[in-house]
Amino acid sequence: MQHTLIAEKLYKIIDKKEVLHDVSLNLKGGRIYGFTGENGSGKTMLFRTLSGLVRPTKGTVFLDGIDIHKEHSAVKLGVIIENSGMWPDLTGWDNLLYLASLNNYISEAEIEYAIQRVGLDPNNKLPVKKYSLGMRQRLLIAQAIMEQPDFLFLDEPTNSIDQSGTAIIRQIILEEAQRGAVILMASHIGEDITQLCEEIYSVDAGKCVRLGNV
Amino acid sequence: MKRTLYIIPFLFMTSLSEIFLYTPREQNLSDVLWYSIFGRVSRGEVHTMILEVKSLGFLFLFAILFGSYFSNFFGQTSVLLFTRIKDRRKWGIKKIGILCILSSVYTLMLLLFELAVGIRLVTGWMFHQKVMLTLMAMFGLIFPLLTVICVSVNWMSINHGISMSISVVILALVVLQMIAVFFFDNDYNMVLNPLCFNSALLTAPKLMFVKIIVGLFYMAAVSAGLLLYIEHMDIFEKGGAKGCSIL
Repeated sequence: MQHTLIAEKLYKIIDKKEVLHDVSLNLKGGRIYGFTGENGSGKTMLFRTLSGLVRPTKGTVFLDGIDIHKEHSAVKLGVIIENSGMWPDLTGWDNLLYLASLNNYISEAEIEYAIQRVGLDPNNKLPVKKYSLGMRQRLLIAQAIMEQPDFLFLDEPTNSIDQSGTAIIRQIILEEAQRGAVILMASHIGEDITQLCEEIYSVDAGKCVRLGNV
Repeated sequence: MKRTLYIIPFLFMTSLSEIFLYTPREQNLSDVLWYSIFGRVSRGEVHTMILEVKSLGFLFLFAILFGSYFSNFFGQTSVLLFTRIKDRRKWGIKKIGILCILSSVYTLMLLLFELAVGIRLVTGWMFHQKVMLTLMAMFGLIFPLLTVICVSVNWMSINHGISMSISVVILALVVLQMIAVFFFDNDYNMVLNPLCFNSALLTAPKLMFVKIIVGLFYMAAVSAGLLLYIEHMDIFEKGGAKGCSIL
């Protein structure tokens, strides 16, 4: 079954300010969709609304046919949104172990594989607060992909990552698309968009416009 | 759970005079237990017991120890958590359940400590039915009150931080205390004010039942409010919602 994300006429108003205006999307699994826009354009708010973290003032979001703001959905999400973080006093392993325990979709072996896949050491005993920015970002990617999500929301996924790490992350994103996930990626890095994305959307003042295929 | 043990040194410090200076004398253990936590306001035949100011300390301690239990889930890790938690209501019920368990353990420890101190102050004590009823009544009064305070602090601290939340709750308790004192001979005050009690209720089971039900109602109402809020709130990474569609 191909995964689908359908957003219908989304509006979001916060403190009398319209942060999303009439956004409609029809996205399919196995593809990578790029979202570009200036800071404050509404990309992150769009990702928050599509992933169920924020309720739209008007409009609906369907993930695999289910209105995620009205019903409980069994879809698996992998999300990285700006400023999201881990528990700083726990190790990377313990952080992912706790997150995996919320739904028990995966085993410890799969957690270990996810950490190794992003180029980190699962046996690293350092707490996350001692990680470099690049290591934290890699760990965030690991938590996003470890449960083989149906939908991936990646806000600046290669932020703070070095060149070799960026290559690894881009390869991971391609592999997740091949697995059939719907992948939404926001990035200011032009190469992320041109090398990975098949369709590009521009977000400006809460409005989302399809620019076309790459 | 280990943090509930902090009440022991707190109670020990506030009970030093009773433990080391008082001489045991012949008195009713049940009365000693009541007056260890409640003060008494009287006019003529009307006596009402009101939670003493010094007893508010153990309530504040509980709020400080567990008042940020919920808000800890709404910081930077909230995105990773709430994109995985499918049913926020079920999650919230589980967390409130844990707070209820913590408040019941805390209340039990308080009562056991006061019983131990009470036994120290009484000569020829006997553990009879009246003492048992006293302990059960005190549990029925204090446990819902602790839970209401803790859930309220947790609710407010999601958006306003623990310091502001505890300050507001302290203010509310002081106001309730003042109402309890000024209207001590008013029956509605005795039934509806969680800081008030009349030991004559021990011989009036129906009224006792009503008093405990009122406490449990407050507990259910605050818990339901928090659950509804969590279910509908917008999740942001730092410090919780910027707006809630239910409000």
